[in-house]
Amino acid sequence: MSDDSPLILVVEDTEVIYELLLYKLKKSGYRVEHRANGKEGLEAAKELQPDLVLLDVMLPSMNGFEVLRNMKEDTATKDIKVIMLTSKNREEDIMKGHKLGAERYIEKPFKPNILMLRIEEVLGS
Amino acid sequence: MDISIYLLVIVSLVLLGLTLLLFVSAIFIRLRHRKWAADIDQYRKKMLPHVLNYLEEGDEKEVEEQFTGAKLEYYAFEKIVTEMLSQVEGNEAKKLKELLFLDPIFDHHYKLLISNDDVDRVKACNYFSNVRLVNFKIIKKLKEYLNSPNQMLVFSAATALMGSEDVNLRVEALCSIAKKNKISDMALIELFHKFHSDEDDQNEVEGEALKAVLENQDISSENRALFIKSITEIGYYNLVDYLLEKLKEPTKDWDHPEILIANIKAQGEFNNIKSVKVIRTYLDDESPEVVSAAVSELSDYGSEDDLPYFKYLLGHSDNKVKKAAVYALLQNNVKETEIVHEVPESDMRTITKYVMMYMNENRDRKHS
Repeated sequence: MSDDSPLILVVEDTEVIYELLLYKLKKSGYRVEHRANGKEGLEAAKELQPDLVLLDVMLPSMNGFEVLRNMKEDTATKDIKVIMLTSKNREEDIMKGHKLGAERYIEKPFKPNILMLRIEEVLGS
Repeated sequence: MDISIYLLVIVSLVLLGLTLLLFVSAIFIRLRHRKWAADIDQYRKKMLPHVLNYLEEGDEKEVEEQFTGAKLEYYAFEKIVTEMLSQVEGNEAKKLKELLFLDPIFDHHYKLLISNDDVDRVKACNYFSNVRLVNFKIIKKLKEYLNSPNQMLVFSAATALMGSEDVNLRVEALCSIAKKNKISDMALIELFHKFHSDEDDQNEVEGEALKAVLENQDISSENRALFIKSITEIGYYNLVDYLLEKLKEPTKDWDHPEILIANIKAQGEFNNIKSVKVIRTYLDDESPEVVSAAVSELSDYGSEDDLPYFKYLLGHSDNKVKKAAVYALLQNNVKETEIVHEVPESDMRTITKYVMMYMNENRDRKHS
């Protein structure tokens, strides 16, 4: 993995899921950072300036929508691309994420390989 | 005086001793729990990388070799797999399910199933329910547990049996549970939903098999009514005529208000126009709840011929029936002034209240 490979920040609090995501992302050649709550996720986005944030909606301390809203209001983070992980059949979550400026929404339970494809798409666009 | 001081000292000492005992046991429990959590965490950390590797490389032997036989190891492993299964689908989910079939996991749970400890037996039942794996040996044990005095074990065994492809076996488990009066409504509904397979072509076979549950004379009227509601919810349409026959000429087991109400509502949910004539016969039932249910269904599926009868029911002695009649009339575009005009002075206030309630609810529905 080279230093110029894209950096992805995973903000997710379920251990088995972030471990799975980190494992797959590293295998695919990305640099990866992880935070387990919304506040730390937002700080890390400002500090690390990742190419993409994988953001869960249900997070402790600050939910995914608040993180996204704060990111889009801050000039330092407003251009960072965001993929949101939302619960299945939560149409209002998808609409809310769309209004706030997320690039994509992946519904949980999700297919990890499809998520990898979406990440490639978003980073390539 | 001396004796009372002596007694006071003894009582104080006993209380002090008891407090110390409680304090020490609380610390002991906390330490034991901490050790348990630390052990689980350790096993989790040991197992997780191998599970992730397996998902990528597909080598289940690597995972199998990690088991040393410790009970907590299986627990930690299962927790990893089930947690992941709740969040992923597709290829990964398929592979994760295969992990639960590994020999050490299966053998461990079979040992739990035949143990003498009910807690272990329940854990085993939950496992067999998750993997939906029930072979002859396991079925024999699970059926034995259906007669246990431990309700939790009975429910877990029945849930595990729902993993069987044999619809008659699933019906047998459902019957055993339904016969028990202590079982909660939620548990029964959950089990019923597990009885239902996702395969559409199974609907007819399952519906037919369910008649055996509904016909069972040992089932309480509450549970029979609950089953009819679940049948409606899941959509066993092929039972609609069977249920209509039961509504037309209810035998003793079927002639209870809660069963009649569930059946009347089922006919409505299934849009069974044929039931209108039968439902009309319940407009003068002795139970006001049954009359209300009949009025509500007829207001959706009946005809203009029912309107005079709804008007007549405005004068019913029970307020539930009055309310259902008001709602049915308004729903069928009868003017509120016409409704109020129909009732005697003594019922005017009640009927006006229901008219207002309907109009408010209707306005809220339109706004939402």
